[in-house]
Amino acid sequence: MDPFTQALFAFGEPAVFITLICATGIGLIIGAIPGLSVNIAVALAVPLTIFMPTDQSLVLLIGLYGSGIFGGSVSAILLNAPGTPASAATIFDGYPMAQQGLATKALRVSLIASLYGAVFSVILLVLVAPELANFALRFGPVEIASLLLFTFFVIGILSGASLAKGLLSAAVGMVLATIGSDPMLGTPRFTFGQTSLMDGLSYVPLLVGLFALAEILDESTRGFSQSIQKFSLDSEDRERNRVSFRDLKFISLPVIRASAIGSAIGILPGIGATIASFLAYGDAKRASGDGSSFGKGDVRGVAASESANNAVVGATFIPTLALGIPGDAVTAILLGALVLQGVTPGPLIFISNPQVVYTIYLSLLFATLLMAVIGYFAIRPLAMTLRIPKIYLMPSVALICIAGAYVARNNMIDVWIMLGAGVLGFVFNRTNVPVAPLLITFIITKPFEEALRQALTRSEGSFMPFLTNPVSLTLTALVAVAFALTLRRDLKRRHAVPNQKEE
Amino acid sequence: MRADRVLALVLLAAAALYLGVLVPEVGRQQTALGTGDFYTVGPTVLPVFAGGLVVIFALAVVATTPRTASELQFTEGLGGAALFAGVVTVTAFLMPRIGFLPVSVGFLAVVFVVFRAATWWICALLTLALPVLLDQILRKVFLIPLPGAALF
Repeated sequence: MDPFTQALFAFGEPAVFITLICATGIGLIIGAIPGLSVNIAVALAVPLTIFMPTDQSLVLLIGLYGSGIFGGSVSAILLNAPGTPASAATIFDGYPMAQQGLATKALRVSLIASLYGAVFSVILLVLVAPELANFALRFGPVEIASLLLFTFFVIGILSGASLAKGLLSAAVGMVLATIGSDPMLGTPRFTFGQTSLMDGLSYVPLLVGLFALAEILDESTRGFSQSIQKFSLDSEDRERNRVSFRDLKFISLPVIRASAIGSAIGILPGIGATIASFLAYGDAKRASGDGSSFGKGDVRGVAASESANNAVVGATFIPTLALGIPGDAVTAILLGALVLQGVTPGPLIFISNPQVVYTIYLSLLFATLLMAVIGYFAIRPLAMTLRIPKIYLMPSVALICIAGAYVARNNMIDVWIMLGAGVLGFVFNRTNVPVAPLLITFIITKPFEEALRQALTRSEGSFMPFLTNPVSLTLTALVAVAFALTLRRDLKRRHAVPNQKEE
Repeated sequence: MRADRVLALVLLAAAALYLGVLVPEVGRQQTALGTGDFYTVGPTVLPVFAGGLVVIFALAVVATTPRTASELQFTEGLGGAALFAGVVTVTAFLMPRIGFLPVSVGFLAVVFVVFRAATWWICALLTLALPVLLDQILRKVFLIPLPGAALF
C-alpha cells in the first residue's frame, strides 16, 4: 500500500476518527474561551500524545490547532474579546455587527473565510513543502547550521514589538537548551548531578509552563473573573443573518488577498497569525477604496481577518516539514511532539516518513472541513461555553497542567520545571518580551549545535566554510536586511514617543 | 526602574554567572574525561555562544529601554499571581509526599477559598470530581499512575 492510501485509511480507524472529532470540537471550545488560547490547548494535549500512535497524536494536535483559531472569532464577535490573539482584528467589524443584531451572520462569514483560508494554505503546503525539502536535501552541516542560526535571528527580530527583547528571548531559549548531555561527546552540562537532567530540560513541562501556567498566573492577577458574560442570539432576525450570494461575492476578493497574505506570513518563521490578520485587515481596508465602513460592521473586515489567520495554519507547516524549522509557537510544539514520536522533521521526512507527511496534510484538511460542519451547526452551543466563569475554569486547567507536566516522564522534577517556566513566561508577558522565540530556539538549538560542531570538526575549527558558502552568505544578508529594517522601525518609534509627549 | 530593565539586568547577572562559573566547570569535566585522538569542537562552544548572546541582547534591552515609566502594568495584581504561584509550589512539594488525589483536592479547595468563588456547589463538585476524573483517565486510559496517596 502506498503511503498516501495508508495515511487515508488510518482515518477510517475509529480511534483516529473519534480523536479528530473530539480534537476539532475541543479546539473550537478552547479557542472560543478568552484566556485559553490554541497554544494552551495544544500544550496540554502534548503529554497525552506520548502514549498514542503517531497518526492519532498528529490528528489530535492538528485538530486542536486548526479549529482553535476559528474558535477565537466566536468571543471576538460576541464579547469584543478575542479567544485567541489571532482573532484580535476580527473585533473591529465583528463586534459592531453583533451589536447591530448580525452576530450569526458575522460568525458564518468568519467560518466561510476561515475555511477558504485554511484550504488555500493546505494546497500551498502540498505544492511548496516537497519542493523546498527537495532543495534542502542538498544541504550539509554548514548550510543546516547557517539556516538554523538564520531562524534564531529571524524569529528574534520579527516576533516581538522590540528587536532587543525578541532576540533576548531567543538567546535565553538557547541557554536553556544547553542543559543536559552534550550531543557529540555526552559530557554532562549544567545537570548539577541530577540524572533526570541528563536528557536536558524536558520539552513538555517547559511548554505547558510557558504557555498555559503563565496565562493562568496572568488571570490570577485579576482575581479570576466570576462574571458570566451576557449576550443573546435568540432575538436575531434570521433573514438578515443569512449569508447571501451577494455577500459571498462581496467578500471573495478580500478573502483571496487575505489568504495569500496569511500564507506568506505563515511561511516566514516567528511572525504568526496575529500579525497576518492585522495586515490582511489593513490591506482589505486600503483595497476597498472608501474604507469608511470598516470598523462599523463591514463583513469584509471579518472575512479578511479570519481568512488570513487561518491561512497561517497550513503555511506554518511548510518550513516545519521541509526544513525542520517551526513557523510559530504551535508548530514548535508540534515539532517537539513529532520528535517525541521518534519522527525527525526536516527534508528527510519526505523520504523516510512519507506517511507522516500525508497524515499531516489530511489532518489539516479533514480538521478544516470538520470545523466548518461543527462550526456551522453548533455556533449557538459553542457560544454558550463563553458563559463559564474563569474562577472555575482556570484552577481546573492549572490542575491539568500539574498532572500533564508529571506524566511526561513520571518525574516530579518536570512539575518544578513547569512551575519555573510558568513564572518565567508570566514575567516575559508582563515585560512585553515574546515567549515564542524562547520555545522555538529551545527546539532548534540541539540540531544547530550538532550541525555547527560537525561543520567545525570537518574544518578543524575553521569558520572559513561559513564565510565562503553561498547559502550562509545569502542568509546572513537576509538577516542583516531584516535587522536593519527592524532597528529603523524601533528607532522611529522611540523618536515618535517623545514627539507625542511634547505635543 | 522599569520591570523590563530589571529583567534584563537579572538575565545579565545570570549570564555572567553562567559564563564565569558554570561553563568553565563543564570545560574542566571535559578535560578530565578526554576526547581521544581526533579533533573535535568541545562541549563549551555553544554555551559560550549562547551566554554571549544573552549578555549582548540584555545590554541592548537596558540601552534601548527608558529608565523610568509607569510601573502600573507589571505590579498590578502581582499579589494574586504570587499567591497562586505559592499554592502551586506547595502542591508540587506535597504531591510526592501525600499523593496526587489529596493534594489536588486541597489545591482546588484552597484556590476556590482564596479567590472567593461564589457558587459553593460548583466548587465542591469540581474539587471532588476533577482530581478523581484526571487520576482515573490517566491511570485507566493511558496507564500512567500519578503519585499514590500514602494517606488513604
